[in-house]
Amino acid sequence: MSDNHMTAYKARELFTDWLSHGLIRKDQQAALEQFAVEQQLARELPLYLRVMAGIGAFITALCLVGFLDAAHLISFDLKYTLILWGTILMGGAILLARVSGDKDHMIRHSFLVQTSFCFMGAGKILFVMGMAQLFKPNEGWGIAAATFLVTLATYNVYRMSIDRFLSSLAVLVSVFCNLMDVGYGHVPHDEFVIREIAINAFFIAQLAVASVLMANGRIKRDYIPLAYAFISSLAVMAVFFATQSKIGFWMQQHAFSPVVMNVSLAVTLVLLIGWAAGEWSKLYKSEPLILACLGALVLAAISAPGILLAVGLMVLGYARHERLIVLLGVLLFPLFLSLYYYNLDLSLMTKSGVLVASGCVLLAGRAYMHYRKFDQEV
Amino acid sequence: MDIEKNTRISIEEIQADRRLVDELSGHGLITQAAREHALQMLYPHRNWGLWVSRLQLVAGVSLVLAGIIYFFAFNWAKIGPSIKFVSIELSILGCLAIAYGQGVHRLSGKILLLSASVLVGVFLAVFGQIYQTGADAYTLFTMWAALITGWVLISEFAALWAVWLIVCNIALTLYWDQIVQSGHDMDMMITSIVAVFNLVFLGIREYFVARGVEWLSARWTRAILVIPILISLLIPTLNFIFGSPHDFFFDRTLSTRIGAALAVLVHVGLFAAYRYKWRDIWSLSIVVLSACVIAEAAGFKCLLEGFEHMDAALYLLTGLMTIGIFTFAIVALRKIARNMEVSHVR
Repeated sequence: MSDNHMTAYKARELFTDWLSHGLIRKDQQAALEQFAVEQQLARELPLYLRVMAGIGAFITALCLVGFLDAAHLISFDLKYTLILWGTILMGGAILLARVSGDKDHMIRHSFLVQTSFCFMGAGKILFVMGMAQLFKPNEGWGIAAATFLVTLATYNVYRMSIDRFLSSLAVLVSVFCNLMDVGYGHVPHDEFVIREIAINAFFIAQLAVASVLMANGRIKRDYIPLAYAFISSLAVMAVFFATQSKIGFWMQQHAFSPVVMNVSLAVTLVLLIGWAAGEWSKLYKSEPLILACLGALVLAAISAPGILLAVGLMVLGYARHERLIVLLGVLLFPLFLSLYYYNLDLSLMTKSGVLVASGCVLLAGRAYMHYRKFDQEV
Repeated sequence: MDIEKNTRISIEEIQADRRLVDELSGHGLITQAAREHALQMLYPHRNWGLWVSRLQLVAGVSLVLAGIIYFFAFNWAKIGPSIKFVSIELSILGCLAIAYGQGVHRLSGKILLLSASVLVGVFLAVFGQIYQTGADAYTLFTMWAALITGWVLISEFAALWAVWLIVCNIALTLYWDQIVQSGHDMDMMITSIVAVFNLVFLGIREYFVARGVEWLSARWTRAILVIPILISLLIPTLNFIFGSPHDFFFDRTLSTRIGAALAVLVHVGLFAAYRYKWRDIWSLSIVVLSACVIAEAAGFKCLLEGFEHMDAALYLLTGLMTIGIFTFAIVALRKIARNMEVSHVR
């Protein structure tokens, strides 16, 4: 599949083709070429280096926190000290990143940036720990507020995509955890209803933001980590509700209906198919797209939000040529598929029939596509 | 560091892709018609059909196979031995017949051959259960691997090759565990044996890919060998580093010493191979990351012994050492990546 992400064309060939078809003017071409070059100037470092930098910074950040504790410079009981040290370290991280300059192949630069990344990690950990204590007994919301604050404060001044991604994801996951945490003891029925509404609203909001971030060409590349964080958070929620059908603890559990998630994901998938096709009218004019939309609706009807999300991710990743999103979709697809069939409230005998029947439906779909020559590569 | 300033890029090198088209459109530099034309040119819509068709094939076959397994699971006690054998054998023959009809050069034929290979394993498991042969589990996996070897060769399907490798690795590990039953001194030897086994197949893979064998050329077929090799050597190496004569689990036995020595050779060998012979920055970065982990462990062990009761100094120096190791690795990898790019352009 990886090869499918690459096109056979270079930017200049595309511009020349536009010119020959009268889609751009001759005097426009230079401006377009300049724009394309400028977009390439701020190129992300390869993933393998970001992962390596992340692992190194994580270990160092833990060592730094350990050092501060062992040297009695902080105490995990003193909230204001933690917040103060967290702020100092984050400030130091931003300063180091600025001081490191742009000569990115110098050892000094890499050392300073690596140190800065470690300071940022340690600073955020300490700040969040301090804020959690400040919010007692609502530590959970304290963590969510603290992660939100530090993400908001550092996102635009600290241009490290892995930090942006992890911080944003931490905010979203902590909000989800807080929404799920209804507390122990007797919880009134209304509280569960409010929680269910809030969780669904949170899911839809994330879906909307992720869609806008991924589909809108006006969004700066700086916000790609944020888009990935929203997508990952949606995946976390989908995995959670694919394994759990209730919210709350022990005896105080309340059934959670996935209907809203189903409908929102199905609508998003249909919109995604239309967006990927490049023209909305194709949704009701093109036979393959009509069939694809029907497939999305069938998945919604059988209540398979996880499968809808995985298919959506594969379509989005394939359309946008984002290998990571395709990979996420490919990994989630078999997981959600297995969970769906595992969770079906049927005997093994009936399940085997359902599995074979659904497999045959997919194979029949493939045979139909082959018969109509929809599957021929160009 | 996360944003690389690249001042050498020229318009001839820039790939035309959806992101570029969307950005031009989003900034109002091209019309909607130009956007549509570009998308149709870059990603003809029929490729979507091929993609969906393949997804349907893989998911459909998986569901049917899962359904068959569920059926057997539910009716296991009620099904007689002969029916069990006949149904599995018929499934294998069915897969083979359709694969033959479709042709093993097509994806559907390859997937059916893969299904037949999985069913051979199911058949052997059922055989062992019904006849209660008392044979060790390694024989099942060895037989399985031996029986499907021919299909692996004729299918030219990387997924089947991966399944075969997994079965072989399990057979090897079980053989060591059930037959060799080494003493404490040679307990860790299996990790080195597994590493060497996979190293041999990595060499075979590289040899054939260099000679134009297309079906093995996907990068993941290299990664599924490089990663297990490094992980299996990391285990004895870390044991060697943290080992002491009085510790049962972290003991510097003969096998850990052999494993650690092999780890050094393999890291150097793989680094040289993917740096100079088969230039691959991803494999190189995996090797470097593994080397960083080993260096980190060795350094931490030294610091632990030198600063036994000085926690603050231990944490501080470990942190500094970590920054040093990873900075060096990142700088080195970036230089290598740049050199590879330059020589590729030349």
